[in-house]
Amino acid sequence: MSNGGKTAHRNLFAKGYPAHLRKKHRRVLAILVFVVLGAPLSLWLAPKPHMLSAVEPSSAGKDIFSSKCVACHSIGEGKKIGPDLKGVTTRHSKEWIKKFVRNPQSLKDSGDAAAIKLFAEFAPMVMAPQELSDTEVDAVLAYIEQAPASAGSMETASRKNGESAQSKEKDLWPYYGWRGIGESKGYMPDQPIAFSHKLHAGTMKINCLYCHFGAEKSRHAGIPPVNVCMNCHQAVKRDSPEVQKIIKAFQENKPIEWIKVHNLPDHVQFNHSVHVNAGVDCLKCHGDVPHMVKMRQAKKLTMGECISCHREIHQKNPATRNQPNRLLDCANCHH
Amino acid sequence: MNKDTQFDEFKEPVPLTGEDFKQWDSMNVSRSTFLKLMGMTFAAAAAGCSPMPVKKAIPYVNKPKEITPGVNAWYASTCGGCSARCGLLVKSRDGRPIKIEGNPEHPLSQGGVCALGQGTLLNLYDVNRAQFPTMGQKKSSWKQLDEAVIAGLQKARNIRILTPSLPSPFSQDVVDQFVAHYSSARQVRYDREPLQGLLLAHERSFGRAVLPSFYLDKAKVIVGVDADFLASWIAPVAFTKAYAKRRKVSEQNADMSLHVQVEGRLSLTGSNADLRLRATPAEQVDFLLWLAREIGLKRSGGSALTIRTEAPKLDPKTLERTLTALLAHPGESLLLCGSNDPDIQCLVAYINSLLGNYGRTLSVASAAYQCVSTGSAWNELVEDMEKGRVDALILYGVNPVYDSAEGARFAKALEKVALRVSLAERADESTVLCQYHAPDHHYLESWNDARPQSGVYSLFQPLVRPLFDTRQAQESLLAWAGKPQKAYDSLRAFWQQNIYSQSSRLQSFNTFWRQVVQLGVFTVAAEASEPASSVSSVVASAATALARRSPEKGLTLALYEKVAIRGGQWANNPWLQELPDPVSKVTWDNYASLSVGAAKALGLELGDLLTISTAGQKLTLPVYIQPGQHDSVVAVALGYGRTHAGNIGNGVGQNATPLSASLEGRPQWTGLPVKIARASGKYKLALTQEHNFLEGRPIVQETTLTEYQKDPGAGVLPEHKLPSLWPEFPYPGHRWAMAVDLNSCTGCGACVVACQSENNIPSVGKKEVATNREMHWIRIDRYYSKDEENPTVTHQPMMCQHCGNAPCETVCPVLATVHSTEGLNQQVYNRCVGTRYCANNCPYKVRRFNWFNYSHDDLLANLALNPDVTVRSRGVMEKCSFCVQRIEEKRFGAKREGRDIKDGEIKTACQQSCPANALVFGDMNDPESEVSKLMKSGRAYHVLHDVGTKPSVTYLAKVRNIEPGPVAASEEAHHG
Repeated sequence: MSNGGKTAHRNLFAKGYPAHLRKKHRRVLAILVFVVLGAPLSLWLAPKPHMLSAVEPSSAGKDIFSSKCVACHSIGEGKKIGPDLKGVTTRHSKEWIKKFVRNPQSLKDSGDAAAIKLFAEFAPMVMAPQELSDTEVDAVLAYIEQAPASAGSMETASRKNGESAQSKEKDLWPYYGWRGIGESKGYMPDQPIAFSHKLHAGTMKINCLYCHFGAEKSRHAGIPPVNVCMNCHQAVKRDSPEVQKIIKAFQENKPIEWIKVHNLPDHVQFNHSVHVNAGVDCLKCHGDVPHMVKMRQAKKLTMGECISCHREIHQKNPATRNQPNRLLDCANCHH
Repeated sequence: MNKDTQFDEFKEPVPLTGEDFKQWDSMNVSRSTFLKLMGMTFAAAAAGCSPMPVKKAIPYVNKPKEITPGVNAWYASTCGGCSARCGLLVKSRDGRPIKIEGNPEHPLSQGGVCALGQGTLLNLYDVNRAQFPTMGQKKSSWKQLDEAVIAGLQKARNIRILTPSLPSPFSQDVVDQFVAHYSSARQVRYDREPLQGLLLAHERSFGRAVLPSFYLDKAKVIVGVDADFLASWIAPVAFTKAYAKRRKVSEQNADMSLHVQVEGRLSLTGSNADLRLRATPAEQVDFLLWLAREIGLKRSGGSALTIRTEAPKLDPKTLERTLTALLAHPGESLLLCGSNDPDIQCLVAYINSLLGNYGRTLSVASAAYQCVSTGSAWNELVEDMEKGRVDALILYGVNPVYDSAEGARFAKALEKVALRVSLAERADESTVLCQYHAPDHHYLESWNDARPQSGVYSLFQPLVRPLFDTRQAQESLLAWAGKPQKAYDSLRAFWQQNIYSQSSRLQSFNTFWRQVVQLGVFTVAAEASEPASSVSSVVASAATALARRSPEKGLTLALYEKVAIRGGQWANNPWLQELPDPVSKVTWDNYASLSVGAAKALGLELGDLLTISTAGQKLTLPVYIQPGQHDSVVAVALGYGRTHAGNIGNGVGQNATPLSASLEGRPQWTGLPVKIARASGKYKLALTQEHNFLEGRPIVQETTLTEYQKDPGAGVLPEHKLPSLWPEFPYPGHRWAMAVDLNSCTGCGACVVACQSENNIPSVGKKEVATNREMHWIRIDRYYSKDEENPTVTHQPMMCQHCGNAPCETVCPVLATVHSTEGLNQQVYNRCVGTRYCANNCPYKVRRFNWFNYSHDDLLANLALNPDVTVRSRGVMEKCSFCVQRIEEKRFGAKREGRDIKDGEIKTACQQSCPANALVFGDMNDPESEVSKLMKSGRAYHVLHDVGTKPSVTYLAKVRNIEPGPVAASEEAHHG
């Protein structure tokens, strides 16, 4: 049957086939509804602590620190937006810290000298009140006390094994690359704002999940809404021309049209949350994001990559150990 | 049936023509262009240079707190599909509603929702809805329109606002405020459904003009007289929920209700009855008179009825059984009648009253509000309009030009009204005759409330910001009444004043309101005692009047509503148009149903044209031959032949409303004398099932209640372990399975639309359905057995059986259909090359092939797509996946919480919406799961077990509450 043949060709080479014809409706749909389909991840930080290290005593503290504090504070690496917290317990009493953390403004208004000094030093940034219990603050403080100097820094396994050297070279790769059909490793489009993951995730050590908060509960990691950017840029670097673009978007209530870097085919239903919650390192699929000035697709993101990981994992996972192929079922991703 | 069609999945050997491509393929490429393009792609691929499509990712500026992109949120609301007002849970994804499901908290619909209700989702994304206000058919602004309408109303001396019964206290309050604002204004109610007779009968016999509430779950004997209560009468979902409770049998509770149906056409309800009598409307009256007299004699010592002594000319054995059963179950029986004649309904009320059913299986104290008007004001309104005594008319929620028997008269009278305003959501047949159109929101964009029954209040909440420049009708009315207010504010204020006071008031109004918005419903105890009845004194005159009537001789017309199209309001909807009628299995059309005998006598065949004529009207329709229909009844569905519904609904079928009659404002749908004559020509009807008999194969297995009580395995063929070429496949984890209770399934089709909505199944249009290319993943096979004149009917949902040894898997040359470790038969779209071997090898014929790139050009309609399910393209096979996306969603949720999936947590789309709870999904490896318990039931069997496919779908044999006798499929008298 002639058509059967045609159909077959189209499918076999579906990915190489001019995509603006093949995926017209899906693409428009995606734009229309503001959905961020399988958005690029810049989650660099190691897997969720509570999933990985039930044995580690300060895992709760690390967890809180890396989700709530790290955007503004470092441990032993100097001032960021807020003070370096190394040795904070020697500078202030635990009671004082608890009061300050829960409501900095009211402590300052009550005339507390230490608080007034801190406010003056870091103006115009004002720390937002944090809803943390006594135990939670204690856990964070315990973590700060025991953390080595490099904790909260961006040193990662992948960087240590030399990927950063390669990544520099890859940054120069053009938009068109020599690669297999439908494979787009190295894709590095120009973005409407010259956002640097190296600065934010690398130097400033902001947790991936701070911006890509969807990764824990949704299939999409998501691109942060402008109001998340404004949490810091309300005060930080307002005069930078790139930050001005964000402020303008915020003021005019116009969304920023980022270019999607990591694109999976329409027939793949990838879910971030299940991977992040299972403790898969963001860098495993997204590469050495903390050293990328410009976001780029670091891995092939082909089915082969998914499968090889799924093959390894079932051995370690008690839930799937007796079902060797459970994680290889087609319908896990294709439905 | 020719040989090819018997063994081939696909009827035509080379079925594609150039025209087919033009119709469907948005690419519109010729073969040569296609090859050129292919060549280019090869070249590009060979050079290794493939430009990426640039996709954008656009986040919010300010993300609303409750939305996480990619996470489903559920909101409780109420269905605006018909006046039954079922409770809904609507799935919202990234700010747009994508699936309608039933709200399990709703006391009436209890989680069920019908095909129509689910289909209304697509009407939200309908480009043919009115997109802006108009004045004189020209676009205007709301300000201009308001000024013009208010000026007109202030000048007017006689204002009328035409509304339906409005089962909504808030909407009624808004209308009242409007009427109060203009001294000359009056509300006139117009209901298109024939329920007024029921109200009048209760006015006469109980002093209250109300619709009673019916409690079918409390009735052990249900006698339906021309009342299609499982499909379209009053509140079919709530009735089906209650009805199904008494139809479930198990080894622990081997008892079920007896359902007798007396009717002229074969309705969905009749097809589910244990005993069914074919009777003309006149014979139905005879039946009721006889029943009233007999029951009167036995129950009250002497009958109030003295006339007519002869028994009706119906099967005496069935009559006897019905009477005995009713007498044996006083207070546990229920007589339902669909007639709109107050005299007949008086007789029915009398029988129910004699049996002590009031206060038990039906209640006047707890009224239903689907119809609150006896219709008498309608005639007056039309007369006033004709005589120029009305100078302003507002149409709110009605379309009488299309759906009234006097539509043409109304349209003419409308010309004499100076100010004509419509609040319809689209420019429908009545609206185009108005100068002003203030378009209403879709109900999923509106705030509103509903009171389907005394003491049950439910809320509508908007799921999406209005897509167009429309305004909620209540806001328009308030604006014209000089009290412009947002619907939310006025609704909230109304509830604070009127509904909150009925609550315990233990909590603040704010808390109360938040709870109701979240739950969707609020219930208060209804009035307990029934009002005093004077039915025995009024029944004599009613019976005398009935007896005096000369019965219609010859053919009569029966008009009815289909489950999906109903009155035609939502006709611009391909899901609903393409849902096969549960009984006839015809899509995209209405037709004239004739009995087998009548068609034979006239020499008519399927699709022959037939002209039906009443005194002043004529209509030519194709013939459909309906087993089980009375020989002197012609049945035609209403709701078709719209002219101003939109691109999809216009011109589908023909409007049969002009054939109906209106008696004192009461629509008459049955017993209308008609003549029929053969017209020249033939018309192709698109049927999804052309073969109606089982040919002796035990696909449907059934037994009788008596036999079942003796032996739970009665009627079920023993299933021996068959030899297999394949080794046993171990399933150490979950193994997904489904159980289908044939005794509960009524065949209503809710699951079909649920599946279509959940799984992005395309509608293919009439022409494609006619070539058997419909795409539904679940279908309901309807089989007739025994007598062709009055057959026994079975409805059997049929979907992919997820066979343990699946024949499709072994023949796929590219491994596009493979088995999962949890027993799912997976279809991998991106692997499929379209050989269609699998479909040919599937004994259940449940695989569907994408012959074309079915149209997804309508960007607005695409918003209804489920992002969790891939949209398939041309050349790909597809079929039921057991809603694997729902399995994955719950699995991920359980994983996040560090637990295993609970039984009952995963509900497939078909299961969730089923008003009869006929489908159960779960893990058969879990011995405690509901599905594995059902699989051990004596009634359990597998379709085509003898083929050795080892299906994961178990069917539970049908049990009929009839006298034991030969019912096995193998003993069918007839073969198609």
